[in-house]
Amino acid sequence: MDKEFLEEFKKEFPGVEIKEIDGKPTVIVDKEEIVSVCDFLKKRGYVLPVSISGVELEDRFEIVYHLFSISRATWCVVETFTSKDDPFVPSIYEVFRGADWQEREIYDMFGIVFEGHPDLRRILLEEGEDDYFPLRKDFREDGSPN
Amino acid sequence: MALRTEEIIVNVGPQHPSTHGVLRLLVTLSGETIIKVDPVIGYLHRGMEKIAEKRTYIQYLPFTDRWDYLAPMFNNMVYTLAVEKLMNLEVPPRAQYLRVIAMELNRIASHLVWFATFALDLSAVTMSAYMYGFREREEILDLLERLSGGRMLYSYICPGGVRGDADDEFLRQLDKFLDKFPKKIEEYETFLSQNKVFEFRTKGVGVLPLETALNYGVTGPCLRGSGLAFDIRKVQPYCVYDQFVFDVPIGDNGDCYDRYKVRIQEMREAVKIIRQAMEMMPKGEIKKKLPPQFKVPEGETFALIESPRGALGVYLVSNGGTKPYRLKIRAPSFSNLSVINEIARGAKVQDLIAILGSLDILLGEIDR
Amino acid sequence: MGVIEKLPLPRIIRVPANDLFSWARRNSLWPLTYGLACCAIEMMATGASRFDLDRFGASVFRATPRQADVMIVAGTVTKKMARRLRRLWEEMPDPKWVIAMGACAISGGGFYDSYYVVQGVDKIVPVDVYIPGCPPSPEALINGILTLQEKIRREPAFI
Repeated sequence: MDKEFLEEFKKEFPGVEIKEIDGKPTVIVDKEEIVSVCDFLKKRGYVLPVSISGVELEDRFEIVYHLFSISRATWCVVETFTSKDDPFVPSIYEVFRGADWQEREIYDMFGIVFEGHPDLRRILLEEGEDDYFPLRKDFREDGSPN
Repeated sequence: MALRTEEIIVNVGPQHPSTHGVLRLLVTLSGETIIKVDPVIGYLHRGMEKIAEKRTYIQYLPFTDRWDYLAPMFNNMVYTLAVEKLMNLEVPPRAQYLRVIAMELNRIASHLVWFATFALDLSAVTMSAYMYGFREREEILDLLERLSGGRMLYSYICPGGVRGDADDEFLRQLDKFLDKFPKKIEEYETFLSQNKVFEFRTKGVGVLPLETALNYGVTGPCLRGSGLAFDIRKVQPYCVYDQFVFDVPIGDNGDCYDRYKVRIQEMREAVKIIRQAMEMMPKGEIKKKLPPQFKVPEGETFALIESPRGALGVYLVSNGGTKPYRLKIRAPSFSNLSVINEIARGAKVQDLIAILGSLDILLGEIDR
Repeated sequence: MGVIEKLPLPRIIRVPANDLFSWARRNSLWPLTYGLACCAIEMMATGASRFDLDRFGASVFRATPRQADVMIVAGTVTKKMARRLRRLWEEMPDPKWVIAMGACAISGGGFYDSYYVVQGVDKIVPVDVYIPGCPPSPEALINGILTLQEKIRREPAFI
């Protein structure tokens, strides 16, 4: 992300923390702001939703959005958090259609609910089992040394 | 008087010859026209991301082969790249060139399987294109077996370098192969490019507009077929790709025929890259010694490379231990398949097979 | 095949029915295309130009279980797939055989501690021949098919 754009971003979203992690500018936003941030980034050229990942931290879940700008050839990483007791994040389906399956996968693996997603159901595992979220750290299955 | 029609749902798969694995498509039809395609995936879900949290970094390397089993070199590479980024590891230059040679050979082999099965799906020339595709693929497998010791799954590219050096015999055979392969590509083209049946079944079928492709995160030959020269090897070079001269082939309007053309052209470019890598390859060591249970410093990284199917990425989070804390695989086929509902809507049911084949999906990396 | 007695007339041969049926069965095995994972690519390569499974009469890959004799389970069987696999096996007409190809189909292989992999296809369907390897080379698959033919030769054709 170039300096000019960074200033513009700061003006649009004051109070957002911007760090550089792994050579990529990373913005850490509240989950309420995630849709407007992604929308803003998309309008400014970050058109390719490369990846959306869920990570379980010690006390909360982290959702990481990797967006790529083809015209600038730069990255922008957006991070947001949600609590473990009631994990939900607004869906960015309306901004990036590519988020459709990616969010379903995170729901499948972590049980994080994406509010506003039109078709939130399991994608890889089969429907019907509650509390079966394999990528959670406390997931334990008989016989598996977790 | 208009005839009353009724929607019907056709279930394709999970055991079907043209789904390329264990994919299931729920196709809603009105007459012969497709109204909606709902892919059901997960029949090959092996829990790759969970297994990564239970294995050490080196132990996990063979599992990366099995994400996308037609292009294992790329999976090794992207995983290795992520680990090396976090460890800040310098790799001997000879290893970098060997990686490029191995990857580009693998790219040709992967495209050949795609060519063989795509022609088979469209039954363009019954079984013969299938046979021709596999004939040249076997030669590449022989080469890679000489290099790495494995016929199909290699674990060749590993943190620190590569396992196994190219000897003179390998280079001689590779040279021989590169000499004759461009002629073989022409042979394939005579089968399909001017084949009227093939043209009818692919031209103007399954048009993927650029806007839609980007919105869904489609990458690789599918995106390039729609007319955007987006190649990670050019945009964010890894290994030593910035030192080679090669073109990024693109299509015009993003139909099945364009995607076919891009892949055929990519095989020619791969030959060019291997030639240059062979000439520029220096002598020297090929691997940095690492302890079997090395620790990776705390941090997170995202590595992205250009696999035959598109942008293959790994998001790796380490907590400083000997095992990954979290490993997320960004599979290109996953995004490429999600767009099928958009492009198949309104097409005829027989076009669905052409569209699915032209997307070149692989269920191993979709389900993981 | 067993004992063939030639009668003076050259067009008539006498042979035990058991041997005749067993001979016909084992030399025209029609496999079901049941590729699941990596092993499926090796199965395709076995059927293609270099290895040419046609030489052993086992290359007529059928896409429907109702026309198939032998199910080559090539790859990892997951819990989502297990029910479908059993059903496909049940749809195959008798006599039928199952080949477990590769480490995953035999015992779960490297995915021994995965939460979603069935630890061996023999938990779902009876297996006749196990082919080890990850993935087994085409030569190994051919060897497995020859082993199955030998097994068919030994078992009675009528029960």
